[in-house]
Amino acid sequence: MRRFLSNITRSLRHNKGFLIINIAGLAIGLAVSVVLLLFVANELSYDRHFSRKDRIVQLNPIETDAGGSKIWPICLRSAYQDLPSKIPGIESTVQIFKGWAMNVNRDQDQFRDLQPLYTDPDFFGMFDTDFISGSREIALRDPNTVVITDRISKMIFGNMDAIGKAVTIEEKIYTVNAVVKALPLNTHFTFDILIPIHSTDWIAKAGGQEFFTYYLIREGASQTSVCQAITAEYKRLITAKFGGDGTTWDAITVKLTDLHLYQKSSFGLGKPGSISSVLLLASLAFLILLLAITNFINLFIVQGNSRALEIGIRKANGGGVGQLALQFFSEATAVVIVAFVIGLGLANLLAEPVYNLIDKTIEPSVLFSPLFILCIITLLIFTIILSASYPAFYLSRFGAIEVFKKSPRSSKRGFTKAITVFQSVITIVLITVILVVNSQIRYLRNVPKGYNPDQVMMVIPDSKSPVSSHYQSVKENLEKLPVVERVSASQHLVGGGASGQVINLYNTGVDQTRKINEYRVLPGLCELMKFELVEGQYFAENSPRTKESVVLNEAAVKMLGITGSAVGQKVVMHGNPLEIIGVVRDFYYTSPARAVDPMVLTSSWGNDGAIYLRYDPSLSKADIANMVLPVFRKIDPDFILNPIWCDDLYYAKFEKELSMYEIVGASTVLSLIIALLGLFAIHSYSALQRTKEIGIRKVCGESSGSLIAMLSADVIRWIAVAGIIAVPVSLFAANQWLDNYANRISVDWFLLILPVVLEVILALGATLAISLKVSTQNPVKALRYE
Amino acid sequence: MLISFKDLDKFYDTGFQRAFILKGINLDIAEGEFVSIMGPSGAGKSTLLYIAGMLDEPSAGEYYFLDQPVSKINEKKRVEFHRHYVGFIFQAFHLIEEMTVYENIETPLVYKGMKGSLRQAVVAEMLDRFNMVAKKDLFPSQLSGGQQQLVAIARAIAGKPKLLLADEPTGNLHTDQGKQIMDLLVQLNNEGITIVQVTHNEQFARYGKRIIRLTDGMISSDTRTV
Repeated sequence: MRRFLSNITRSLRHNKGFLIINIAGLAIGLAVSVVLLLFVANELSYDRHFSRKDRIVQLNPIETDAGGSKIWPICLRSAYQDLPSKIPGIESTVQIFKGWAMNVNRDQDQFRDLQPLYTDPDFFGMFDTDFISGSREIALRDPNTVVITDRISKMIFGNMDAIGKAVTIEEKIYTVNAVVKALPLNTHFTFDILIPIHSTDWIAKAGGQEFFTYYLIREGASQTSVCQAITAEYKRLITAKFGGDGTTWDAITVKLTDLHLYQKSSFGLGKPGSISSVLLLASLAFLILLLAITNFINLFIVQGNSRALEIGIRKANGGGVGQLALQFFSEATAVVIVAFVIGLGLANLLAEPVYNLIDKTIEPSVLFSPLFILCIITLLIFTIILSASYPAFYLSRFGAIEVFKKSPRSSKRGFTKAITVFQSVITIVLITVILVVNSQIRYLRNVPKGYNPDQVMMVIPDSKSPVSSHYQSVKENLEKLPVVERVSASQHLVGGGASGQVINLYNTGVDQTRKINEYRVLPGLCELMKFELVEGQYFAENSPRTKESVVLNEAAVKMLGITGSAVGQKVVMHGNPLEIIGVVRDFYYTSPARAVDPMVLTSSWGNDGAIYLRYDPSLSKADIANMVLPVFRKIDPDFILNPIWCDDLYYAKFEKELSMYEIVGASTVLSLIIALLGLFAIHSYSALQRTKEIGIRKVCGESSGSLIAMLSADVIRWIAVAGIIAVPVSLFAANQWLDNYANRISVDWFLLILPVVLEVILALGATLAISLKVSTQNPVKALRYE
Repeated sequence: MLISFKDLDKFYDTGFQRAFILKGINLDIAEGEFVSIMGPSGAGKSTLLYIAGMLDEPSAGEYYFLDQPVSKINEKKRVEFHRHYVGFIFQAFHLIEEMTVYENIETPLVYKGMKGSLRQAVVAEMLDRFNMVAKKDLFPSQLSGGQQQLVAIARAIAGKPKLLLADEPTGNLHTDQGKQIMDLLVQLNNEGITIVQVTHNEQFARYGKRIIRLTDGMISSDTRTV
């Protein structure tokens, strides 16, 4: 055994250069795979820590009308109050109402922006977590009590026992009656404070669909039939309340463990994951790993060719195929294990930046979860089997005599070349994809937006601040500043969410009702946002007609089927007839990735909205914030300015594309490194093999220049073949991805050719040093080598 | 009979032609013989040697080793035959560069499946016999050519083969060193090992008891030396 090990280390030491390249390539590949796999394991682990996970479902109502279907994650309160008593298969029911972040006061201290969830007493029966103090029986039972997490307890009460202590939330006093361990990050929701729903009248009596609703199905009951009973019963409840007028209702149940990755509703309690991004990252991980492994095999075989003599000697001395295979298998395994250890270290360094990039925090316990450990072990075994068996199989079958007779061996150069071509194909495709994604992002950014989001500041004052109630005076004061071009206000943020409403042309039936998005704005906002007027006019200041008018976008005009001029026609909204006074060009308030949805601008305004101002382009965001702050402070001395920038909102719509760009980009760079390392090694080997040929050519008078050209021609040939395969593949992949976009570039020939050219240049760069070395060396040296 | 070739051919099909390396070889070699095979380059000497050592296979005809038809025994048995009855030495010595003298000699014993303690004894005996005890931890590159060939011989006979095949064992050596090696081969032959050597050197060929000359893949003469 000792002899066996020392043989391995000696023969590895003997081939140091190859070894370093080999380990580096494989370690990088493994590191990336580990990082990506951890993300995948984290995504797959969501909500699996709850002990009753297999019996919990969430109820999602489906609303269908002429405009299409919409799946909601929230239900009526009666789904909790009335429904369970009719279905014996339900063990317990819990509803969650997600409140806005709140400030919590204790004595003189204020703790800001804590996340509350309003819920029912059975919460912990469904979502079990450890109690630090207090008990499951009394937690959430009485009104005006709260449950807080250990983190919040520490924050508010330090090391004191929080039980029985009072806190003030929204001017109401609550008693803490339990402290629980915060839920792991891989839970589809999160909270700082739990408040019983029945503590708050306006929530408990809410008549609309407001509540995330979970049912725990009785053990032994048929899940399918219980779920069917739930959806049928809910359909009855909701139809009785909101049915008719062309709207029909249905419902589905979603298993707890599917909520994160397979969220069907348009929003959820937490930030959803997507199975497609998990698949994307898993396949990237696989691709890079495959690249690294093929590289490893290639290098090992190429290096093995130079060990043909050793193999021959061993065979002449009675070494059997099995013994030699075992020897090479062990050598390769030793290298893989070293690379794996280095890879794990590298993964440790890579993990944080990568997860920041995709804006994800990994739940620490996932690292030690059986799933992840199994993933890692599988990865190791998979890598060993793939990397070590082919070289072992191939090398151990070298014939002994061919080596001694120095006859030209029918070597497996074809295999080596095929691998090199395969690697080039992968890198060319990745480079193409990255170029296409980049051009598409640039294109989307430059799509005419229909408005100008630059130099627009939006301020949402606290509803209790005097600024809210004194809009007119704020506006006048702001307008006095010479750098402020215009001031207006809207209940909505342009580029942010809109209010979902219905609309129909005046004098048409209810079956003509259509869904539409509404922005409620004050006069002047259209001018401030620089919308483009197609016809008619905007809302006029101080006109009694303004309140009875609407401005539509082109998509809305089209949806309503208005032919000819829209101005002067009437529509019905909120039960009132309103006159169309203007039409604006479609502006991208949603992502330009999608077509613009119909939008109506109305002129109604409470005191709850954002104040908009357009400022001088010469000012920076910080400058303008400093300049307007005194204006707000004059009205509200405690005013805290939290400006929202309209252009930030707009560019945030590209986040998904940008993070995809960054991840694919990083993967591309890494695969390039691996592939170029491989190419470098293969090329140096093949140049070495041709030492004698090169010597003879030089003796015959061939110049170094033409020798370099000859050696480089090989590389170019490989990549040309790769290019022929890669171009259609990348064209297909790019078009598949681009088809998701309403506004898309067409794939230029330039985008397809450039990666091939780039690959050639990089490959030539990687191999030039070697070509130079062998072609300039003294031919005598090469020939004496015999 | 130790070795018996019956109508043996070795050829390669290249395109439309069939290139014969060996053609119609009929040859018997008895146990205890010392045979030298001579002939010009490309006459098929080495091929014949490798076929005898079961590292290569004939294209036609039959090869009997210890009266057993080699082509009819399976791969596993052939490796067993090779391991237990055949030792090889080469012109270029072919020691494994990454192994010490000791380990090189030990290699065939490991492949033979010999136990550690016994292996140690055998290697020690070999080192002793060839006066290389002091050099056992050196690597081949630290030895002279003659010494390397000694190690190669020690390795070849460590497993106590019946047959020692030598492919120009003196080709890379000075005459003095060559003589030394040939004396050693004679000595081994006297101890009962059958030796077949391929050589270009008339003088060294005469160390053998029998000289076979090959021309264009055929035996042109087969004489006994006095």
